[in-house]
Amino acid sequence: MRRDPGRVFDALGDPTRREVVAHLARLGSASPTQIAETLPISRQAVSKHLAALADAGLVTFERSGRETRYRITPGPLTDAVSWMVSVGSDWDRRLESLGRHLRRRR
Amino acid sequence: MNGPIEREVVFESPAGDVWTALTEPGRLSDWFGAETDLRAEPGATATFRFPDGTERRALVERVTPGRRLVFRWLPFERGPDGRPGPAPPSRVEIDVSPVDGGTRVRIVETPTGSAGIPRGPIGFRVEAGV
Repeated sequence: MRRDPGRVFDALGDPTRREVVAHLARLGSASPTQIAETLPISRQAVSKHLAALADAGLVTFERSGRETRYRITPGPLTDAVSWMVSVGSDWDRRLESLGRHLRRRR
Repeated sequence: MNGPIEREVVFESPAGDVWTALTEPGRLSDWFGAETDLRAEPGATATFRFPDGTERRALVERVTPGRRLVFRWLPFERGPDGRPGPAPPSRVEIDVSPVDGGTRVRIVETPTGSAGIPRGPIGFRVEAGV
C-alpha cells in the first residue's frame, strides 16, 4: 500500500530539519546531544526537530539508560521519493502528449 | 508555495487553444492518458478513468478562466481489480500564460496529506461511491 508522502515533504520543508536527517543518516543512530554538537542549534531545538520527524514516521527512537537514540526509518523516505519519481514521470508523459495534441490541431 | 513536482513547458499554440485543451473534457481525454468528465468549475468533481482500469476522482478547487486551474486528487481510487483503495492525495496547479511565440504551461503537484481530505458531503460521497 502506498503511504501518504505529504507528511514527509512537510517534515522535510525545514532546512535545519533536513540537516538533522543528513546527520542521522551519516551517524546511523545518535542522541540529540550528539546531533547538537555538530549543528549550530541547541539540544532542545534538535529534540523538537526529532519529535517532528518522528511524527512523520521518518525517525524512530529507543531509550538506553538516560539517553534516547534516534535512527532513520527508510520506508517513508523511499515512499516519498517513489511518489516524486512516479508523479514526475506521469507529468513528463502527459506534457509530451499535450504537445502532440496541440501540434495536430495547428 | 512550490510543490515537489514542477514542470514548465512552452507550446507554440495560442493560450486560448492550450486552455481549451486543458479544460474541455473531450480534448483533455485525448492527451491526458485517461478519460475524464472534468468541468473547469470550482466545486465540480471529476472522474479520471485510466486505461489499466484505475479510476481516480478529483475536485476542482479554483478556476481563473484562460489562466489557472487548480484541482485536487482525492485520497481514494478504484484499482484495476475494481476495489477501492487509498491513494496519496495531492493538489495540482496549472498555470497558462502567453509568452513570445506561444504559451507557457506550468504544472505544480504537491501532496496535501490527510489534512487535505474534504469534509462533508463531497468526502462522504467519494468514500461511499467510488
